[in-house]
Amino acid sequence: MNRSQRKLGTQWKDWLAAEGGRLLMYAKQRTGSLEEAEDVLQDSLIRLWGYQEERGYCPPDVPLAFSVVRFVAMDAGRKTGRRKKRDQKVIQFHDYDEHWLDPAMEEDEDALMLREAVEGLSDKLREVVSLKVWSGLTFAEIGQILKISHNTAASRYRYSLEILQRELAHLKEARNG
Amino acid sequence: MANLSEIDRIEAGLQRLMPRGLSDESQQGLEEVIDGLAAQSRLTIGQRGRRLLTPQFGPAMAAVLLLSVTVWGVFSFQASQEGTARGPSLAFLDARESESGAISVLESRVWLNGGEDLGIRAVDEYGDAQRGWSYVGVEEERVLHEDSGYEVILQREFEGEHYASTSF
Repeated sequence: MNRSQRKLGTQWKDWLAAEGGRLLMYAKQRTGSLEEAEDVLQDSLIRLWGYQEERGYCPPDVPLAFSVVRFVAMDAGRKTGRRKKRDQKVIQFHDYDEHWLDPAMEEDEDALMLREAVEGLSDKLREVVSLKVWSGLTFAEIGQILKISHNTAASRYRYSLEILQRELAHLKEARNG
Repeated sequence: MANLSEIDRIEAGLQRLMPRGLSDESQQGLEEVIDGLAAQSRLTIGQRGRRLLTPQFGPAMAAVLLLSVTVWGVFSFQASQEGTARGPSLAFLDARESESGAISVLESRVWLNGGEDLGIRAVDEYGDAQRGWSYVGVEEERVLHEDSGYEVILQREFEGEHYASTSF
């Protein structure tokens, strides 16, 4: 590698260090599996590199990166035939390894209930929550990725939190009898 | 409407649910991918590029004209200082002689100065949509007039549009 190529590599590694974590979390939310999410992220990285060729290979902006991860995950889902499973509103997880939320929290009962409530959200609402809370994006960036206005993104997020708050209250009531 | 402090608690709870960051193994694997991509990278120009500034002649030819003005100016100044009426030999102004090799291109570079995301656009009459980007860049040539030894740097700006070959 010559000096320019090494410099490019460093720029992208710095970008990966800054953005890779939240991109992976989003991919996990889209695919439901860590292994698949890592494949999606790698595939997305290669595609992003190609798209950035005409911009001198500079690292991509965040909304583009999330958009590519989203579409690569959709393609991956179609190929593995998991579309039907993904469309189900109630997702049953019997194997924690397949869970897209942190299994290390399984001993925290409140966390478990919150996780259950999140799983019960519709795909549209869960996606906004994922992008806002775990990917740290602004409503404007979420709007760019999902092709909705930032006001719609904000409304969906607020509505999601209200639903989660109500659902958590019901689950606690049920737990306490 | 839900109580704000309850909402804050929900948000804090959500934050705790998911681990952050890539694992060391994932990070290393992806960095190897980046190294592989970087090793194969080369800067190219999109096929739809069009030049903003189009000189009548190619860069080397334009350099001939620039050199001629420069050299003429230098010799004229010297002539006026020395009180002589003789001027330089301007045979190199002959384009045909220049084409045959009096001008050498020492270095040629291209780089991009910026661009803009055009979003998804229809690119043909069938309504196929692809994601596009516009870009602006610079072509630079450093040329040498061998007889006089003068070097000239010539730059041209260009702009273009590129559409991803893979559509969503």
